[in-house]
Amino acid sequence: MKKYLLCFLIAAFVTGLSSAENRKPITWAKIKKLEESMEVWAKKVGDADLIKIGKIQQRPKEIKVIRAFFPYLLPQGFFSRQLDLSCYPSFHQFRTKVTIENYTKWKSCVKGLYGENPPELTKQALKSLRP
Amino acid sequence: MSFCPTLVLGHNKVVRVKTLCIFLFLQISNLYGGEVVPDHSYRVSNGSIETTSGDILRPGEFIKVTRTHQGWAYAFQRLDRYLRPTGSLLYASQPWVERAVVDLSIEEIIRMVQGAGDIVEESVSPRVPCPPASDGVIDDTIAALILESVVEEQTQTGAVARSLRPVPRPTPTPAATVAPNSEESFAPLTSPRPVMRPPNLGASDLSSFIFKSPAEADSYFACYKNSRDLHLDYETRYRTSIRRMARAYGQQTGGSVPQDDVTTLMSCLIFRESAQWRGGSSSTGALGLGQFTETAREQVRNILSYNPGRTRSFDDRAAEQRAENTAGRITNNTLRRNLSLIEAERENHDRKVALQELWSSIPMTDRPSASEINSSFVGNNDNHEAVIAMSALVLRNCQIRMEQDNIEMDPRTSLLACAGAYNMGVGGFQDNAIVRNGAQSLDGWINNLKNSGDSQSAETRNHLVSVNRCISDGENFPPCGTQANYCTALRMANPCTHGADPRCVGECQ
Repeated sequence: MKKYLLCFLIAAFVTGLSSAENRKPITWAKIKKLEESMEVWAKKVGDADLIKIGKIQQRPKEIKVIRAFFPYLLPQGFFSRQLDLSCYPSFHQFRTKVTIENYTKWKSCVKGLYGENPPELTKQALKSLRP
Repeated sequence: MSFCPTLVLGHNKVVRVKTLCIFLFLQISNLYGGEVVPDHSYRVSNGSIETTSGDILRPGEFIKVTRTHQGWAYAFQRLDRYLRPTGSLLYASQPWVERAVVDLSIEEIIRMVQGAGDIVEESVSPRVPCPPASDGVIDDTIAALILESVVEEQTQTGAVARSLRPVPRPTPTPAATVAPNSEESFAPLTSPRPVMRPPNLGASDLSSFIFKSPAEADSYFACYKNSRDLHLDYETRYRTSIRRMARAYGQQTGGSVPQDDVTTLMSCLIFRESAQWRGGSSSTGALGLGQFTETAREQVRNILSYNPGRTRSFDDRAAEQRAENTAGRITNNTLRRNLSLIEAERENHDRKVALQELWSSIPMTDRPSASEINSSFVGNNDNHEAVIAMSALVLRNCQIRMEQDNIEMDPRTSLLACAGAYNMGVGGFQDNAIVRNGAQSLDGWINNLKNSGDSQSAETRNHLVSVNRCISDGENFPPCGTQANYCTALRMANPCTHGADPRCVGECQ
């Protein structure tokens, strides 16, 4: 019994550490670096292949990042491009001028699209970037 | 940390041999089991498949089965050599279904599994380069998401090389073949129209749904009403508001979305949302006939308070950005970003203007301003005209968004999809139900929702099934979680004995 309890505690500790790691805040500095690397990545892949990637069942993680923060890198014809772009103006405005008002506009746009359940990265960003 | 391996699914040869043995076992057991698994890909190996559109799929072609029905899979999509879906959904023709059996020999299975290894690898590894080595910026949060994506990828690719061995469909049940006007028919007694439908095909199997007429929908509401008083409220008050709204809605779309379809869909949607015209509040804070949450109210307020006045056109702004780029004052990336911003603003503008026009064209005795739309307003059923118009805005907003994203759906399918989005949000529904394969049928959405892992998936599935049962001309299955106590005008079908498909979560178990 003690063995099981010990195993359980160790597992809980490791899981806790792992989720704490996963909940690292997203900062503007990280977003800036991500943007640079995503621009390079999107250019290397090329528009034609990006469209193909949009159609396959599993997409690379870069697509999740691009969809959340830099949808302008998605080419015309990419599945969900227009949807992803629709909150980009408010996000960009918030990024340019970090105020509570701009944050609220961006959050409101995201909630209008996804209700209470936005994609994980966006959810994290909403939490971390709140002024 | 390098993320490159997560993008490539190459298997080494040793693994391949082992996998081949496992596959072989699976294929042989599958062959004798006669199972065809939905959402998996197959190759036509022996014989050909005739489709309802007159196409013939010949040996060697790949297809992805999208659903199974009573043990027989007949809706599928053509795949190219990289196993990517091409074209729209195809349906096996009824005569072919009745006579065809496509068999595979063991030799063919071996060949297919061996051959598919390469195809699988190619199909999921579209030459994606690694990000630059210096990018320590993608933290472990994102890495966790990547790994999760790859696990999904590996699970699914394991199912690609399988055998297609359809089994003949069961003989149609007597209930499905009786004359429309006979005692055994499930047509509403008040229906002026026969409910002829191809035998064994549910409405959800068709690319275009067969809607009830508004009069038939009324019979459905009478059967599944919550109480006589609430039903009376519908008959004396809400029905007129819904029909007026639907007329304006149909006119705005230039008739491409028929008024009667909007009437039926919106009646069924509000019937479902309001718990059979009750309204009130839910545990999530949703209020009234349209069950508007604070988020949804804010969405409507944003649309209504949008100021379209603009001194410079979007085209001028775009031209200016191009000139800046030509003069070397902004980089290509900045140009791309700025043009996308202008494009997004233009689409948001066009959509909001169209929605404001719809709002103005819906007749209302007392039209609220944006600031008046608060919780007490939407929670009051006396404001049914405005609340129904608000629901119409949410529905139309979704339809316009799907048009802007070039999701090709016929208007009826798109109406039902937007009823799903009403529950989940258009972004959530597009991501979780339509997702990458562009599913265009109820079964496709239900399947995708099941596999999405989204916390709201079960609720949205029940919502979709309920609205579909209400709008679909035919069997009149009950909304999920309800029973009929007052039925006088309509013969109802029991979903557990009449093979309702798709079913509510946990139904008939």
